[in-house]
Amino acid sequence: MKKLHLVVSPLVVGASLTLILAAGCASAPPRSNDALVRAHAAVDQAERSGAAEFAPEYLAAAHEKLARADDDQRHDRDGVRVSRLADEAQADAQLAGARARAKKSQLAANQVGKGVDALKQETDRATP
Amino acid sequence: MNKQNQSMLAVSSVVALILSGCATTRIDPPLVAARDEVAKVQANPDAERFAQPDIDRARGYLAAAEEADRRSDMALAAHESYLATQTARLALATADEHIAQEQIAMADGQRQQIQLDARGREAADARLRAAGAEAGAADARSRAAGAEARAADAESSADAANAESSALRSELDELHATQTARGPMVRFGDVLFDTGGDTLKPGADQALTQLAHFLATHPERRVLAEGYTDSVGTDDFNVGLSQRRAQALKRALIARGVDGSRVDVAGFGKEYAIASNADAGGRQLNRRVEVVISDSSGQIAAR
Repeated sequence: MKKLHLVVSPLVVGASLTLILAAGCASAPPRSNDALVRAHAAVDQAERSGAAEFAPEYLAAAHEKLARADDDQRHDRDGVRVSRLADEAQADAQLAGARARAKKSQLAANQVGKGVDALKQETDRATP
Repeated sequence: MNKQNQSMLAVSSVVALILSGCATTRIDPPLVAARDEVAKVQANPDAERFAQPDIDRARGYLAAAEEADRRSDMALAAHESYLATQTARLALATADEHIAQEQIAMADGQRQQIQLDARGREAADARLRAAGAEAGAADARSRAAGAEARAADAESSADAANAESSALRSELDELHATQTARGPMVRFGDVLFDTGGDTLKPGADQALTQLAHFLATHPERRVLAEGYTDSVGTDDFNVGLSQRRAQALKRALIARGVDGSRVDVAGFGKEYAIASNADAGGRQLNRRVEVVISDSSGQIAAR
């Protein structure tokens, strides 16, 4: 075991470092812009609300704008444009999250409504 | 909005689109879309009820868009319009969510009410059944009470009967009555009559008085006086003698206050001998009058 561990560990460390660096480049842009930070937070929350399933179009728009804003920010382009893209991404993400929550709630309401109907029928049957 | 404004807006929108690098992908002028969306959400009472802060923000963005539009900052106008549009839609989505949550809460309340009602009905049914069972139990109790009362009655009448019969037994004992299959019987022996005659000797007085007293205290009872003889002599004589002796006993009872109708008489002659007629002692035993006392209903089994 020890021998194997010694052989494997430099490989693992190297691969991990490579991954971290690559990942850092892809998804962890510098967030000096407050609007970008808020937009990322909004996208995260939308995803937690199930936007990927229930509001994919708005979540996609948010992702797309956020990626452009991140790209602009990384390349140190127009700060105003970064902020606006980030704000729009945030608005898209918030809408995506709200739509997802609304749809989930509506589904739940339908389920509960059906449950109530079933219960009504059952109790109506049970009592002559 | 006049035509000039509209065409200006259209132009500026295109310019804005170009400038913003497709900040919005809408073909509609973003400000027009924003006005529509904000107007729509402002007309929605649910949105007003549940998402007033979002509506306020959307109106703020729209105002900024109008302002930018006035300043011909098409990029900013498009940007603020987009924010206004999405925020107005957010208000609607928030309202939808709240409405759904309300429906869930309502359905939950209905479910609870249905369950409560069902439980209530079950309880009512149970109460009904319990009442029925109770009524049944009450019936059973009253029946039991009736049975108990009857049992008590029976017991008390049995007690009474017992008491009566024990009193009767002691009275009959005093009469020196013998228990026979036909009822209690008091024997008046030959020595209490004149030899060959039908006159009772004074030695029979005490027994007759006791018998009369017994009949006075037991008006429901009757007596049958049956005369018997030994086998000496003719049958006619013996039957006649036995009848006359029974009659003498009846007269003696009447003399002691007993109603004659309660005393029957019969004479059987030499029949039904209780001892051997071969010797004087046996013949003396056979000469007798037996008074059979009836049961409480006045019945006496005939010979």
